[in-house]
Amino acid sequence: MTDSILIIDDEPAIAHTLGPVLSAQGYMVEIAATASEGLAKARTRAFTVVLLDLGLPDADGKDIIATLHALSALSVIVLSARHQEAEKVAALDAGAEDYVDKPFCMEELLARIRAAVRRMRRVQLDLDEFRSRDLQVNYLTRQVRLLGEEIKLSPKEFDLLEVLTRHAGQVVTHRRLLIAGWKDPATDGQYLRSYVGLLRQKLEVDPAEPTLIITEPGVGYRLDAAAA
Amino acid sequence: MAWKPVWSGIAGFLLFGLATLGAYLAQNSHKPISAALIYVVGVTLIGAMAGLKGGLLAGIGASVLYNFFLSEPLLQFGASSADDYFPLLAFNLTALLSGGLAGRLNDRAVAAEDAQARINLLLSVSSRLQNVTDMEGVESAIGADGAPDWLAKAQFYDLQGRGLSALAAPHDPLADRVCSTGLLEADGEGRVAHLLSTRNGPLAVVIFPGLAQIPPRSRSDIGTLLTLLSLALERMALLEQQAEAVALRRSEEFKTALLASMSHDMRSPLAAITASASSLASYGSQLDAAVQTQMLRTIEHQCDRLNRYTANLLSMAELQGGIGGSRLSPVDVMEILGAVLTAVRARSPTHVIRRDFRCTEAVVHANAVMTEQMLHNILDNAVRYAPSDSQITIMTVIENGSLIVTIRDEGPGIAEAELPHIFERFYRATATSQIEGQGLGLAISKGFAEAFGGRIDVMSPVGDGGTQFTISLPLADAQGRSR
Repeated sequence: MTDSILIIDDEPAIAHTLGPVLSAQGYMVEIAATASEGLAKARTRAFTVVLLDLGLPDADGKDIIATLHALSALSVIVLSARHQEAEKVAALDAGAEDYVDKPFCMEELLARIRAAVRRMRRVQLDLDEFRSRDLQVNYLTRQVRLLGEEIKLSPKEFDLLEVLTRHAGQVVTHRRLLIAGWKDPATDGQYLRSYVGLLRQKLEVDPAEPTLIITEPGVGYRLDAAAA
Repeated sequence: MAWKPVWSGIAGFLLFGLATLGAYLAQNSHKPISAALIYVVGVTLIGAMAGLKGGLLAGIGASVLYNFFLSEPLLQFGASSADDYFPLLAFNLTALLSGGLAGRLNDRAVAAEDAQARINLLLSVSSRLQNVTDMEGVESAIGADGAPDWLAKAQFYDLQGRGLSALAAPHDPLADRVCSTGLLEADGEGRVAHLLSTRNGPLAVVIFPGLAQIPPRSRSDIGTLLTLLSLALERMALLEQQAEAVALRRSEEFKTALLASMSHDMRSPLAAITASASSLASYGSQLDAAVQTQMLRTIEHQCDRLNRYTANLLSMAELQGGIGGSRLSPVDVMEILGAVLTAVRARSPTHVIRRDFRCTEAVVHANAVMTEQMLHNILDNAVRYAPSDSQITIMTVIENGSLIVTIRDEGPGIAEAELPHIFERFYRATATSQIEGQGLGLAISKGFAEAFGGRIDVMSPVGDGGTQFTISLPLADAQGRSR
């Protein structure tokens, strides 16, 4: 099945540059310039990924994220400005799966789209394990292997790694990680930092400059796409 | 001898009794002159001690008793013979006069002491008010030693009745009333409100609590106080205006520098992009594949440059507007530093970046994105200005409750004359002005560090040349606030 992408962005230069490139990559592409047009298109057919600009002329992009999710199983990638980290976090907490800072280069955007598509596949298949080149995580037996060697994780460390691997290549917000580990988004972020530190001690070659669990300043963490 | 009235009254009665006893004994020993003199001395002393009223009272009392018990005929008023009239009259007059005069003298002395104390207070308040620059200063000036309660606890309000000083309520209707009537106003609690004004019109309202209960004599210098307070407030207003004028001038200078920077740093990349893109569009088929790729890379690179420039301008705008506490939260700087190092290594793989981390965690009350930019700008400078195979050393350590990050390069160093200016906005060192940049990076880093309660210092040259930047940020305590 061909994966389809809906671009909701009122800037024609962006939409019409992305369209041909994504088509050339084998995606089915539709373009909408407003939130209402985007929602109308999302009602007529199921998309795998929605690229959503936050500053739309007729609505705040993040207000339609929940509606988009209600229509079908899809992944929302927010196109945002680097300086608006609060906006970005709000969109992610509203249900967006990932974000790309504008301006972005094509490689970066394509990597994010691939990660989103892969996650949608994994959700469909309801896999019991995560498998990348170096890392294996079994969600049923809660076993973790790094380069074939078993790594002992505490229950909380495992909970965090599970969310990160289930969203491999995508950002996971502090809030989502706090809910995964402590069932309470109001938990002190210090605990999260400590546990991520412990995970890095066990999984990273160089915990001071991590390459697997990457810091997204002010937003959350991302399991590196290359590892996914 | 400003004794308390009760004590001077009791002492007066005792003295009066003693004088009466002395006069009675002298009279009984047939020494009538001594008796009269003892009595007069007693009355004079009482007057000196108890003031005019006490002196007159003692004089009258002495006259009556002398007349009735001591002078002939005994136990009768008046005199029996003309010869007895004169001593009696002389005694009565002397007793009244000496008591009254001594009393008045004492009253004057008390009044003079009181006036002296009030003048001292006024002088002390006045000299303290001379140097105040804010409301806190005014409050501490009027709370000078010996200031009465109504003055020390005075409250200040603006002309809308909103509280200005620490003791003032958020809003006071009495202050409102003064503003609308322009007159002195008092309320049922004895509070008195005055309008503080100068030639240029009303400035503020002051309310003295309990002033209505103070006798008018003790608040005769209220007018002087009001003038002093008005002058102090006027000076404060002028200082504020002056500061605003300086800020305005700075902002004008900033705008000029900004426009100059934009015309250069925005147009140069745009020129390169336009040239490359139009060449490719019009003559692409006539150009080598290698040249075409080169032009495309130029467009990419110049876009990158424009993007960095816009980001810097946005950061400058953020700093200009002030970074509110709501944007700060606990940030582990070591974690951010790790991410920045990865990015810098990827950008410049030939530099040797050496780590000397003496702490693994350093939580600071900051903003994560701004922290990233702060560290990135300084590391990026090191990478851009130091030779491509040279070593950059990053040391981190926790000292006295602060995280210290030093970033040291082996670059050409910074000329001594330019060192004080490198953190200024739009400043470019002359020796390196051919290297791409707008002179914003360090200003932004410094601004962010200061917004987090920290600082950035520079040393150059260090060792065999090269530059060392030292970032120092106060660690957050358990509650996430700065220490």
